[in-house]
Amino acid sequence: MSVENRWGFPDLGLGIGLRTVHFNHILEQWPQIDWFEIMSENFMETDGNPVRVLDQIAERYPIVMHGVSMSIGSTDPIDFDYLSKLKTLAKRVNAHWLGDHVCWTGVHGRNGHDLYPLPYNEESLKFLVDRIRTVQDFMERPLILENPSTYLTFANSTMAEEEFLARMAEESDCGLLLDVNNVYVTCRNHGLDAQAYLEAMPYDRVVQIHLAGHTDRGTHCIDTHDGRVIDPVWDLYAEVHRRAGNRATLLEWDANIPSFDEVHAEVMKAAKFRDMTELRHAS
Amino acid sequence: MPRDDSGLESLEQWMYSVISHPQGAEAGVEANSKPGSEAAYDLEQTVLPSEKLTPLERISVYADMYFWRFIDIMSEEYPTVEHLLGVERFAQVVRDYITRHPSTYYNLNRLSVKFPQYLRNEADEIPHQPFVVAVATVERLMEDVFDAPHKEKISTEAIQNVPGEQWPEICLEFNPALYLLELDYPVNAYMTAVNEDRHMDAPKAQKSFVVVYRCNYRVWRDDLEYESYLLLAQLKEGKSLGEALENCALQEGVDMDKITTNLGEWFQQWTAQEFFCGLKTGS
Repeated sequence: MSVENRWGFPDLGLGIGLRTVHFNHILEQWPQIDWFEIMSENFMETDGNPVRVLDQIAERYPIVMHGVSMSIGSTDPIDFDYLSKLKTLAKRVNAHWLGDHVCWTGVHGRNGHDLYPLPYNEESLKFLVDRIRTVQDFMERPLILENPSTYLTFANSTMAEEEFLARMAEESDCGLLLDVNNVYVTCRNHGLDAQAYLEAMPYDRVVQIHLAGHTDRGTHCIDTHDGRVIDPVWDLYAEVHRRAGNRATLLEWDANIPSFDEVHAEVMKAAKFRDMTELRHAS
Repeated sequence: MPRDDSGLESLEQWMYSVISHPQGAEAGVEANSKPGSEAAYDLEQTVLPSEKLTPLERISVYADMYFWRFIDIMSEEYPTVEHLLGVERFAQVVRDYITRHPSTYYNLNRLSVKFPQYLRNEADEIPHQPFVVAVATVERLMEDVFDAPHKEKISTEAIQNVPGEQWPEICLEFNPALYLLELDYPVNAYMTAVNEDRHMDAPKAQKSFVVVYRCNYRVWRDDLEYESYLLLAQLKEGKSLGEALENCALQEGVDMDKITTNLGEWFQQWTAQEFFCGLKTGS
């Protein structure tokens, strides 16, 4: 079964998060990889080496922008200066799409630079939907928002995360980045059924998939992006593929980052779950 | 503009206050549950337990990450300061710094802008304080140089094509990614020793002159002789070469023979090091 996303965003194939430790390898080898995702903020307000490298990479590979600082769920005013810079970068690298997380990162002008959870209820849903619409109008494109890993549940939540996300996407007309590792981590942390979570996803709005490793502390899991994807997460990926068909898929590896070849080999494991006939490679 | 009418703002404020409390989440909960607090919530009625974690343990996951993230980032930015203070002391200094100067900007590259100033004015108790401040100043400048605007360097030919008689009138435009420093300690020698894993005691006060600059998109840090520092400082202020040389001659302890003997070689070297991005005649 294959469900197209409603905006016609392409299945870019299998990609890797662009990290500075791999710059030299990429510039020397121009490896066979379908696309790169950049962490938007790493290339904003700098005119140094990362931007020079990114310009060269963007000439050869599709680029997707994924941020951590939009703070779409914060009750602070929307930072239009930040959004303007995001827009400029998107134009510079010809980003296929750009996204961030369903979270807040700070309040009252202070920034914790982490992805904090929202209560999942009607009031926060309405607030969030209005914010997303405002940002999308300014950016002149849909946002592709990711389900976060969460470590607590607010007592005033009245709906499950998957229901909240599905309604948020529908009511704001935004896209979703489905991080299957986050689904696993969140469901483990909250004692939820990951299959039920996936069943509730509106796959016509899922534009991209994330894969990553995490740390299992026994009592809870932390989304550390510091290792390989574990088998239960691959099982969830297979399930998403069964429901949605091929989607642009990206591996995140942000701590204890191994060689490019090792990261590449890890994401290529996703190939066996995909319909390979249409896989494209940048050259 | 979307407004929050749901209590979300006070909930976010409460959670942020708890997780950013310098004594940890438990102290944060205590401080923010008292009647009269700006955003008072009862933890047990605000956060649900999971099967394996209490509400306090769950919110502590975020609290633990709050300072860890900042310490991790500043450890990368200030490796020599961390070496001087030791890992534990450095972590405590960063915690104190973040508590007094929390991040207020979306981009982490501004997180430690005030750190050298903080060490100078608010951290009297740290060992070797004046030296630590000098090291922190250089390490912060290296961050600034990394991100500084890019301007094309001036070519060797452009320098060579200046007729000899015009040189006294020449004014040079400097690379925006270049800083000159007059320091009270031999900071560069110490940083180099630490970088090369060589032991060196914290040095006694001794004047040193350092240039921090970006060349071929890499950040460099070099010691300068007093005379070359003085000349570069004059030129960077916008003085013509003739004026700069005259001013150097007025300074006490300057070896003018050294300047005149080395001038040609210095300019070749500085041009190759991308110190300059333009020149004009002062007349």
